[in-house]
Amino acid sequence: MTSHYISVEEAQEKGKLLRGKEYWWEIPDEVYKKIEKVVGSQWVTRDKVARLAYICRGYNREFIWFAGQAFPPCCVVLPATAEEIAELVKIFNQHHLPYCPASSGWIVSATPRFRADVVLIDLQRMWEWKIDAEEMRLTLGPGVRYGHNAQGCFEYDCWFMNPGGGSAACVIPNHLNWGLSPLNYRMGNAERRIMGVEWISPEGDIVYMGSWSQEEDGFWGDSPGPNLSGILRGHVGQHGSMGIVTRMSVKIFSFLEDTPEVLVPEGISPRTHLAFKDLDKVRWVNVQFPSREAMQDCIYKLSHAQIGAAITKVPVFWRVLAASRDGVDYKNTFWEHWDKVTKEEIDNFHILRILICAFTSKEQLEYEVHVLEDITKEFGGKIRRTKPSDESWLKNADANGMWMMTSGYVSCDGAQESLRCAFATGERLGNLLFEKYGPPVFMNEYGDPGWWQSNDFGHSGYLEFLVYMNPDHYDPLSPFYKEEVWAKMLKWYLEEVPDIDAETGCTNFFCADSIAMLYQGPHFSDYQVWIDRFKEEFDPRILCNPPSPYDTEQLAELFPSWLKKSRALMRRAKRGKSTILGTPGHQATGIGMKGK
Amino acid sequence: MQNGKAKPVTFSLDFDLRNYLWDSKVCLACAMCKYGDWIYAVSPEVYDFGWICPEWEWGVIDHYGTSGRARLVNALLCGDIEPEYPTVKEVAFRCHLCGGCDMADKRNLELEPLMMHEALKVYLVDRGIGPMPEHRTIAMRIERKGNYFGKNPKERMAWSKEAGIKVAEKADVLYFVGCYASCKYSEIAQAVAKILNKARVPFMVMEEQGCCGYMLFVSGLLKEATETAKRTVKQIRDKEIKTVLCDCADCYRMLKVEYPKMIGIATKDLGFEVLHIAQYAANLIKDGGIKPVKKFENKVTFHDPCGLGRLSEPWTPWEGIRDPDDWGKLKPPRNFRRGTNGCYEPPRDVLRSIPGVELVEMFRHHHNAFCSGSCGGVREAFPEQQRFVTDVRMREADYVGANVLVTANPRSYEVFAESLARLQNGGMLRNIEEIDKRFSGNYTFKSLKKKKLSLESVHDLTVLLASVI
Repeated sequence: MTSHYISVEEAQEKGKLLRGKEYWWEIPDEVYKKIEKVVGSQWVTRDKVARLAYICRGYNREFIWFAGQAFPPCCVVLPATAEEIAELVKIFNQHHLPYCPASSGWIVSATPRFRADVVLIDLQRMWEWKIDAEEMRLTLGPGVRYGHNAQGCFEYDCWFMNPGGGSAACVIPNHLNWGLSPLNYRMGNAERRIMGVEWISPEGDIVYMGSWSQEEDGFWGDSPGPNLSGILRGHVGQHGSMGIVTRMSVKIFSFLEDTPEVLVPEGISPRTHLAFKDLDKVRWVNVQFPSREAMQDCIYKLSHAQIGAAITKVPVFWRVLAASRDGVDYKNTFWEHWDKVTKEEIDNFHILRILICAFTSKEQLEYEVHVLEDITKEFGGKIRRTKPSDESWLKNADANGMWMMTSGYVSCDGAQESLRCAFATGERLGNLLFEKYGPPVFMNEYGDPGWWQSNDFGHSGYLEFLVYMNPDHYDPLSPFYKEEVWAKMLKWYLEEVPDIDAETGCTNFFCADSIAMLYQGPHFSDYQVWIDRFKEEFDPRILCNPPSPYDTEQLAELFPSWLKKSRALMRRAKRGKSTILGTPGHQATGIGMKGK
Repeated sequence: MQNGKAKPVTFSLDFDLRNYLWDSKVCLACAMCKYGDWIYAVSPEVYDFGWICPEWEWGVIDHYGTSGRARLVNALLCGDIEPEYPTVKEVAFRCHLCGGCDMADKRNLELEPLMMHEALKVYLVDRGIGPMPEHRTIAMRIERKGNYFGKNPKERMAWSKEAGIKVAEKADVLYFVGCYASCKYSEIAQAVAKILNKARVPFMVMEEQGCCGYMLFVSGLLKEATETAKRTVKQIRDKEIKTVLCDCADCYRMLKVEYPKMIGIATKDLGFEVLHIAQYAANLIKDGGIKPVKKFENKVTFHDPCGLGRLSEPWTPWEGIRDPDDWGKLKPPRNFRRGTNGCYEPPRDVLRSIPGVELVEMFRHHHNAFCSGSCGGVREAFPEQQRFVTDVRMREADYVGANVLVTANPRSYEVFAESLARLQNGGMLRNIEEIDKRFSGNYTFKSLKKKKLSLESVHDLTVLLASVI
């Protein structure tokens, strides 16, 4: 019997307490038959086993599933075309049935939360992938994932960014969300590379944006009239609750000559990698610096010189994580190394990784390497031996590996700021975590200041701060649950991190839909009011992917009473549109239907 | 809800489904179990050749794959669904147990999806819900006649009476003859004998040998499979065998991995070494014991059987705790089997040694190989799923330009041979249409545009080798 086993009876009792409502909700026959007529009986199901498969995926796990707020959808439907989706949305509107679109399901908002009467629209059948390497653009459907996309582009000597969120993420939603990767250094944010968009509005209309609004050609992101694409945004927008994007054309970039021959998949699991077969065409360079300040200054100078294709500084524990794959038991191997690390080592360990590519010729690569050597030498940097391969940026982004060390992980800060702000925020977070929030709440990171990268040739810097938790202590269904650990975690996320963001002026976009400090309130021009107005205009019944955007006042009610500061801030943010707690006619046990 | 005062309980890596509650909850649905190692991800233009999970590619909806099944296991163990719910059984038994998800998961995380799937089948059989009726029929045949086909057990070794085959009364090497080689494809057994005779390796057979029990094991009939394991191991030990040679990847996996797992010992404690004839032959070629001399001028691709490749790493039992106050570390550490040391190169070495062979790889190869469709009892219970999966694999072999497909597992060989006949007679278009309906919306993959099959033949590796030495 597993060490984590609890009896079925105990699980049921605790589950009921956590959820506060029924787990299953059955879609009325009348509505189900209408859906069947649109997509065919093979592509809709209300089978319970099928519905269970769509509970909680990816980043949802820690705060939604464990909190008992992940529910199986009332049915799962897999449409094949935009026309089918438009019809479905009209049916859902007619019957007041909430729905949630999902491609990979990797992000928090891509799964039913807080209620059981949601239809899950699985978009993975909507497959399209057409590349124009000469004009450097790609048209694709919602089912396409970054990992496949990367290989496809390579075969045409092109490339695109691969997000830190993982190769498993789908291109359309991640691009809309923000689209962040070290490759943004040269390519810019993915969301700025969106051109044509085919969108099903929450009213069920098919709307075309960009040059698709005028013609067949999805070449251009703008078109006459207001640019509507802003209302589709993720982290700083509607969080996946403004209709469904069914097709997109994106800009891609030209890459290396004969890319598939230069980047060759090699190795047997777990040691697989893209081998660099020609170091005159592509290489990573690791540079070690004598101090953090020197590294930070160097990042600026390298960026202004516009050399390289990526400049990134990763947390030290990622390096240890990668090395742990040589052990038969990764977790134990990781901890054998990590337990021996000291703060002093972290304070003195400054490695920057730079990707150099021969976009034009090997002479160009040589030139850039010379410039890199000159600049890094100025700051005391020493070039270190670097593996001639890529394990996790160009094609495979190991987001799921993040959970390996402790089986619980979340990023508490994700921001695009000036480089200086990103550095300062990461350092403050690293120090506070080390001083006050170490084990058993979070893994000791010894003050590591997080993951930084330079974007847009140094115009902005990206910071992501990752923390690692022990699910045994914050999963209420675990026999080892510790309320005090959960309380400290909440305090960190909802109060400490936003406080530091406020001090350094860092605009953290993670959880912007739920944390009152982020993009809400008078400091941000009451931006949430505009979010609500758009939602009110297009989806007044809040059927598209509730409860995004969150009603922070209702959310405050769900948090413990001792979280006074955060609750007070949430109430001040003044939002009141979503239905987390439910209002008459919108409860999870039975949503109102016309004529019923 | 709790106060953290519970103490961790010692548990084992075995067939108790409750041992996988943790795995069911840690699963992130990251889709590596759907597509395999991202390093080897294919272009969207050939998306149908990019899946690692055969059941999922057939079914598309997420409960047909590992992450969906993890949610199902969680719901069963937490009482959110009853095991008697109709599709629970269907979904559990549609799993091929090919280990693609297991290999992919373990690249980055440390879960045991394959064990979880095996335990789920056992869980349902223990409750009288499984196995599928077709599995029961085969189990009865095995019980009564000692072989998968229900043939007269006295005829199991009839192949060895052929002229020119020398079988020793007693030897260090035992040829464990699979049911397919003894009852259906006697040319495989004769090929093994020819290779060993040519290399002057004395070998024996066991007249009393029965089925390895593979179908019992993959059907969740654990009690019957364990009895078979104990009996067979005793038979081999009683004869003081040093090396057991298998002609079948499933027998190989059973003897090397699943028998120790069921009996509760390590592979190294079996008391004998288990090898596949592909490994043995590769060594014979290297040492000069045999030499391929006849030409075989073809573009050949090799299908890695799961049992020979990623599932063949030795088994080590584990028992311990997961320490909740030390980040969930397993204590003692567990030796996770990731498919790293599977038998991938020896069959390729054999093929490379044959004059005229040009070896090409499919998109999914080595640890990342796609299932042939023949395993897990799926063929018997869900033939339309198996047919679809096998046809996809054949089209992949065809697409990469091979005119010959070789494998080292008679069960896979059988389904490939049937598929070849089918694809040559209109089945190609049918499979293309099925894929098109499933995935492509308004778009057609490049891989679906090739409508005519260039692939000419399918071979078993052993038979091929015997024909050229």
